[in-house]
Amino acid sequence: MKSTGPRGSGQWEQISWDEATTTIATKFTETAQKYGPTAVYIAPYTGSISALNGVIGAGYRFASVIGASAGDFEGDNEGDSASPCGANEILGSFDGHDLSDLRNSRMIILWGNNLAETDVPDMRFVLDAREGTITSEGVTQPNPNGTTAKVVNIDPRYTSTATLSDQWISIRPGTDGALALSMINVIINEQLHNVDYVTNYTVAPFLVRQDTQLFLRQKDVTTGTSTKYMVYDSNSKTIVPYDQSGIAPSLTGSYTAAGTTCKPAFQLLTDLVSQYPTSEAEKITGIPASTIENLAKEFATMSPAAIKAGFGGISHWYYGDLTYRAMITLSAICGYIGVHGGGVTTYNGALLDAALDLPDWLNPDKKAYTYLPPLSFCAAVETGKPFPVKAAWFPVDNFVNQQGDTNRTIAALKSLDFVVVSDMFLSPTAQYADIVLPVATQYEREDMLPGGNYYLQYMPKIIDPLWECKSDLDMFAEVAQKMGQGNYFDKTPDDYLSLLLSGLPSGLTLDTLKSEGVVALDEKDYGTAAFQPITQPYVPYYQQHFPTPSGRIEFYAESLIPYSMPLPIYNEPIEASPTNPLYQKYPLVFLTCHTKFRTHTQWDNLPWLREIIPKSFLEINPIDAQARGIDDGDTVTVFNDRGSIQILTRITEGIRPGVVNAYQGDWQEFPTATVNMLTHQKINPAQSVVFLFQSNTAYYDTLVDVKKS
Amino acid sequence: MKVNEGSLLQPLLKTGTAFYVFVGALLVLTGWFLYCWYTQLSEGLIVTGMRSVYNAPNYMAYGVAGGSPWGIYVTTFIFWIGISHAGIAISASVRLMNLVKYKVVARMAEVLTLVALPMAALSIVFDVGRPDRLFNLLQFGRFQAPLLWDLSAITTYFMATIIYLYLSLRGDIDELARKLPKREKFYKRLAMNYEGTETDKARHTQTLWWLAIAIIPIMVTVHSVVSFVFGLMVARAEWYSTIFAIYFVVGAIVSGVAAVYSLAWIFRWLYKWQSLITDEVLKGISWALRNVLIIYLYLWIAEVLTTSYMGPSAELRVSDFLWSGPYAVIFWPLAIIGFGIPAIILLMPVFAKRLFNPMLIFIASIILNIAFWIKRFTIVVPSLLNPPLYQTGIYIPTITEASIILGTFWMATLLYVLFVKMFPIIELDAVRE
Amino acid sequence: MVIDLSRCLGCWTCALGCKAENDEPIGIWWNRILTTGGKEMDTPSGTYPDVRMTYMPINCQHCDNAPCVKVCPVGALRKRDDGIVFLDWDRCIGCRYCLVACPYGIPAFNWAPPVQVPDNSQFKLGAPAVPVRPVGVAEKCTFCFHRVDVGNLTPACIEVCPAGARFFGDLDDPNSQVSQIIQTKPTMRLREELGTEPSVYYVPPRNPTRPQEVSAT
Repeated sequence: MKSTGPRGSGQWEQISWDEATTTIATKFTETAQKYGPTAVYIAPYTGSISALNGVIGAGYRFASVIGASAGDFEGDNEGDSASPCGANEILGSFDGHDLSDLRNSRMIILWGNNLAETDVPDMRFVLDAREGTITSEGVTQPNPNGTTAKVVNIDPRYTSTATLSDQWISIRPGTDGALALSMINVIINEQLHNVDYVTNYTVAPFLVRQDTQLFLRQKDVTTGTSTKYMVYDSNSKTIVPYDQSGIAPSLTGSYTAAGTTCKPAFQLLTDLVSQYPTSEAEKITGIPASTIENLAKEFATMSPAAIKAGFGGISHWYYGDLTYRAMITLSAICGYIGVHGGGVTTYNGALLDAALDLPDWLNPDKKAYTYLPPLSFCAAVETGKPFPVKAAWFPVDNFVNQQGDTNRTIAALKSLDFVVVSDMFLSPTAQYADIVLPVATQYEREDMLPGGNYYLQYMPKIIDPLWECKSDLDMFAEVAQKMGQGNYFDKTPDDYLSLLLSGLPSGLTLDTLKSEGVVALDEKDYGTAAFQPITQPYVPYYQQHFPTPSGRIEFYAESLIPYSMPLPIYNEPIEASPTNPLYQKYPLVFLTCHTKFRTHTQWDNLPWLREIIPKSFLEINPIDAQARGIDDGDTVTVFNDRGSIQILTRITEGIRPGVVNAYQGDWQEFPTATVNMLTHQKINPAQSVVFLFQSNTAYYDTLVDVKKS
Repeated sequence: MKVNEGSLLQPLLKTGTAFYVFVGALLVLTGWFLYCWYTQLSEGLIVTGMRSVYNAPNYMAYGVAGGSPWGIYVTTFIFWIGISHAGIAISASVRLMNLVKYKVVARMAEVLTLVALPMAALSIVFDVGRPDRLFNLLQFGRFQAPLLWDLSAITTYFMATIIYLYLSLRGDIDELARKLPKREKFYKRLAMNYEGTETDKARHTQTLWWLAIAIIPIMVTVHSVVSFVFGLMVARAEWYSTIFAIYFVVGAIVSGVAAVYSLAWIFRWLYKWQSLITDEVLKGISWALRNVLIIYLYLWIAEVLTTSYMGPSAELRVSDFLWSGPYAVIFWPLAIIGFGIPAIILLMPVFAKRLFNPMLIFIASIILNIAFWIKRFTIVVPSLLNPPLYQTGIYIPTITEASIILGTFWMATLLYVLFVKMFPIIELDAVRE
Repeated sequence: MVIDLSRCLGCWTCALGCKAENDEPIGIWWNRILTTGGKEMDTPSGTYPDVRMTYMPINCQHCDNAPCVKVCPVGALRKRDDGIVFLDWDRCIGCRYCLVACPYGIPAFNWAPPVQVPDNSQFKLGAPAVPVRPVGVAEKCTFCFHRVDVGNLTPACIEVCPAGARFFGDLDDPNSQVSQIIQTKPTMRLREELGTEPSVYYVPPRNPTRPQEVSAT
């Protein structure tokens, strides 16, 4: 369809595919000539996670061959990159345990994670760990370690997950880092940390120069030697390279070397966490000091203990990377990283597990798109920095509905010269397009699911595309052809699938994948194949090899020195904090959690689900509701400086006073109840140290107020 | 002025404009009723207030969505059954106890029953989702089901009433054949070779006497089985009660007697039959009305006390719903105006004979019947809106629904009026004695 | 049937699986998830932070002493030999006495001509053996008799539950999975004091809520 009125007016005219793709090709070519090829922005995202058509799909290949700019699937449209960034900073990669490993845990902390609603299939593993498994004979089988895990849920909301937990701890949103640091404090004070593990697998004993903040290197002490890290040996009472044999590296103390004071990283950590005794943490988090103390002691003693973190609760914050690093540090000092039943897991596995031949698929002939994170899109459109963006194509994504600060996004789209949106439905994003292209569903095209849980799944084409729909691959192929790059899209989907599979060391063929349907990845085919052998269930870092500069767990990371956070310090949330003057005007923290009745925006238009939840609503505590004269069933206005929405209320005791929640993903009530009208696009510059995860939408880091409308 | 036979036959002979206007209005209203019923048949019961309300707060309750499975259709059914009790109660009592004074109201009471029972049946036809499958009741009827007891009892009651009425009417029909030559053929055929001899008359009287004896237990059974539809439901708070059978039967007698009083007063006023339907007669009826009303109020208080003193939580929820919840606006006016005022009016003459005022009691009887309809509503609906596990919302009848049940009232009136035009509403014998 | 409330997530998958399998129209659910807690769905009882909530999926209890079977005037509701309480949609006259008699509020009624979404014009949703019910009849959970009759299949709700909280089997067989669970775990049935003898057993949740606080949805 082609838009016949101003963008957003809803006036459309039907056109042919030929006209559509020709228009797109012409416009893109024009834009590239006028402003440079990167002025065209292609932004596929997680609307589909399939290989050819979705999140690592044809859109990026297209962008590469025409030299456009593109967002990246590990980017930030949904606040999912703070945690991966933090993980990369401390562990060198972002990976997670296969959640069936939870049956080996004695304690499971579901931290900022509403698993029972956001990841229903995986909640099964928590239940099995907690209750044991019921066999077909009706017998309850306990877990391998013979016990049942204690499940703790840390969340400002009392959710379905909390109902299935042994303990629910309500926390002030965004203060999870302080909780983690306080727990580390308790553990260190009580001498419950795993000294051996910490000494051998983390940077704990490495001496840090207090003048430069960098690690002390051998060449700092003795010129002309190596860059080896240095430790203080308690036996010889000298500073020696860390890999010297027969030494007893000290974790504490203050020493002199290279003309400056040097302390072991662990000492610095201890100094940091000593600022967060439980009494202080209680003031920050709102959790009683005794609860924090008990939680910490249990965590350290109920070995092994696993942390299952949520993208929402941890990563949708400006300082999410700091929080995640603190949590990993907590797990590390207890020796739980890389062991069965332990670890810090956000995602059941890595984001992309299989060692597919991505370079040949996404960068044919070494052509590459220029990376522009979606969060930087608006700024590029507004200011022309880092380069101007004048045209865009949004496939596989409901950008307008899901990006922070909707008003700003809409303004940016309206100011573009040309916008293409491909989708299955006339979504809010499609409303602002010049050309809308109908996309085929997953049943109407060949594809495969590239992992995310250590399996490869074949997605066969069941029927031909109905009506005039085309698959994303075909669309991009057609436009590429008209832009003279058709030779990159002249193969069949099977050919491209085979191309991707050719990167697998095990030699798995497409035919095998097709006949099996679902294939468990061979050990050799894991993306983390460097760290063989793999253990079952999959536990990352099982060999205790970390792809960090030091090869160890870097709770002290040199890369973050320019941002004054080599250690996982605690910072108050950038906006949603009582220390923010804005808080006087907008005293409620605005959460936009994930509902069980949608997957982001998908399924929002299903009549059956809409029968259960006819309209979106705002969860609010009775104390806050009464203070504002709000009763059951009232419609309210939620507002801040960026926008306002009208929404129904649900008064519930299950949410912390001072916090409100409206589920994200609603587009049936766009724009009246579009929650992202209130969120922002602030970027944390510290995240630039990890290229792939350099920006993150901090959705929850938002303040609002509510009034009766 | 003494009323004579001619006066009794006046309604059959003379028809004034007022009558045509009245009937015309009723026909128009009946036409509206038929339209509403047609709407319901084509669109389904969703046109009623019993339907799902998709946006109601407790939307997902009750298997479909909110509301009450039974509403004013069932209420009206109980109401008409209640009215039907008057006829035979009075008529049979008159015959069995030889209360000659009250013979004047016997027939009008019987006709009331005759007209009320089909209306009751019709109310149920409106209520079922598949009226086209009603024959399944005959083909597959199960006798363990209270609704089948209803069907059997009411059918029996209806047949008995028709036979009773016919037999007592036959003599008059025969006379009318002679007195109204224009309609001789009609009456002659209807009389079916009535001989009119003394033996014939004696046989009729004898049969009627036995029929009267049989009909009384049938009458009690009818309303008892109606009560069992509710009283045996262990799932329903406020329904599951041993008192229901007698409670309903007494209630039926009250509303029936009140209806007969209303009719007697209307005919007395309309046709100036003061000398036939004397103050004594009215006083007697009101005396009976007062006494059964007192019994009814006693049963009601017993019921209320039992459910509110220390009830299970479900009972308390229904009580609260009725007394202080959404239906309080119905309940309290019902108690105070609906029952309180008639009770006072009826009790006044006990203290001072001169306080007996037929018209006031007529008003009381009308109020009483309206009150009884509302009372049955408060029995049926609040319990259904508060099932054992949770509350399901509110039931508000729709206009279509209300029009349909009002249709039964219009049609009842039309049928009654038709009878009055064809047969003497007071036995011709009554004048002669 | 056994439903393990210590595992129920309140995710509605069983309700939706049932709806798809049995072609239920808009407005009708044979399987619903009640929230035992606050006034509305997914809200807890108590006062923050001392709050409690659990979920209770509810469907026809297929009682051994079913009130609905007793009161149906045309015998449309019948108890099969295997214990399933079956509603004959061809015989039902729509009197709704079963809706009135059921203590659990289970039977649903087609107030309006049923609207299937997606509509049945292109293909019929759900199992072919389950017909579309007409307007004016009642309907309820059938324990997927069409699956049970075939052989080893369990009802749709059992199969789709992602938490492994639902079990189905022969209560008369002491060695069946459901019988074993009932023998080894504490179980309860809804409103046992009413004498309905339901066939659905619930394993209580670990964090129980006081029983008075059940709320619809």
